[in-house]
Amino acid sequence: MNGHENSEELVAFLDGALSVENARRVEKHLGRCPSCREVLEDFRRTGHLLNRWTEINPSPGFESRVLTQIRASAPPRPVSGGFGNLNRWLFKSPLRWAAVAAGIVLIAGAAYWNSSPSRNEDTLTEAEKDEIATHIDLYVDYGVISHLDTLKPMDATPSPGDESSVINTA
Amino acid sequence: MAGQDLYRDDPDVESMLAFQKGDDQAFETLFRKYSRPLVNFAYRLIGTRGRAEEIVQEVFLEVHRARSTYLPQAKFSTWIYRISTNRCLNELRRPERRLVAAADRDPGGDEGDGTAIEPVADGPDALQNLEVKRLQDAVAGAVLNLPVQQRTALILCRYHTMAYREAAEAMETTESAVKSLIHRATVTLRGRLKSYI
Repeated sequence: MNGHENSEELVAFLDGALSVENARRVEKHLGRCPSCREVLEDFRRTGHLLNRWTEINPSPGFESRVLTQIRASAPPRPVSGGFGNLNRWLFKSPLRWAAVAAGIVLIAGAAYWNSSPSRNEDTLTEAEKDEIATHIDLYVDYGVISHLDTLKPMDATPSPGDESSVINTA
Repeated sequence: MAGQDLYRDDPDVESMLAFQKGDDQAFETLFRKYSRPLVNFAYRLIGTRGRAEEIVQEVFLEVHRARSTYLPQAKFSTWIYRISTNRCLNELRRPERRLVAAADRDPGGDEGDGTAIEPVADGPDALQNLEVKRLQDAVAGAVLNLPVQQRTALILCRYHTMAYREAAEAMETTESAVKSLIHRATVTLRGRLKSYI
């Protein structure tokens, strides 16, 4: 510092970029330091010189040329409302994407589950029913007896000791 | 959402949101407001008007494409200057660009655009015009030869009247970095333009 104000602070002071407190401090210093006042004046003149580099005008027809180009190369306008709003809503959070994806998977899974053929009495062939009746002891052993109500419609009248009686008493 | 709502008072953000909802006129309003300042911004950063205009066209194409995804997270001016800054810096990073940089520049804007000050062959103002032209070229040359980060900060703050904080947002850096860049640029320019001060 050498008793002088930091020149970075002087430039920021000129640009009005200092806090009120720092601006007051610089101002106070400038009041009693001709050397810093001179540096500040140099910076101020340098800033004014920059104005000598005047603005240019865009070339003739620039505006209409660019707007035409943009209209020509612009992608199709997004649908406003409906899916357009949905997209914007989804873009706001990856969690929303995840939740929506999970929902779709669940709905698709449920739909598949309901539409897949179940192994019930309507879908068993006569041959399969005979097969079950023949090996009924195996089904009992393996604990699937609760499913054997599928055989209810079978016409065969069980006789005592017949394997199928197990079915009706189960 | 609170952060986004902060910028909804900005009329340019409002225009961009209107454009998002399908108001094409709002886009043209933004284009008319910003195209000239942005051409000058790119021109002062790059040094050639033709390329500056191409960059501004690319910037507005990007704005147009951002229609469906735009979320106001800054002032519109900060956002569009950030896009422009990135485009210009990419241009300046191109290897072929670096090779021809010095020769490519046309400080003073003397490209027949109607604003350049042409020396008059005869007449009482000829000498004065020549002097003005010389000073303009000297200032342009001094600015164009600043390191690119200093130049960007200086142009944003001095020619586009941005506060350090806003320039920092446009440059994706800190306010104290901008303060330092502006200081170094000013000190360098003071040295280079000493004979005119």
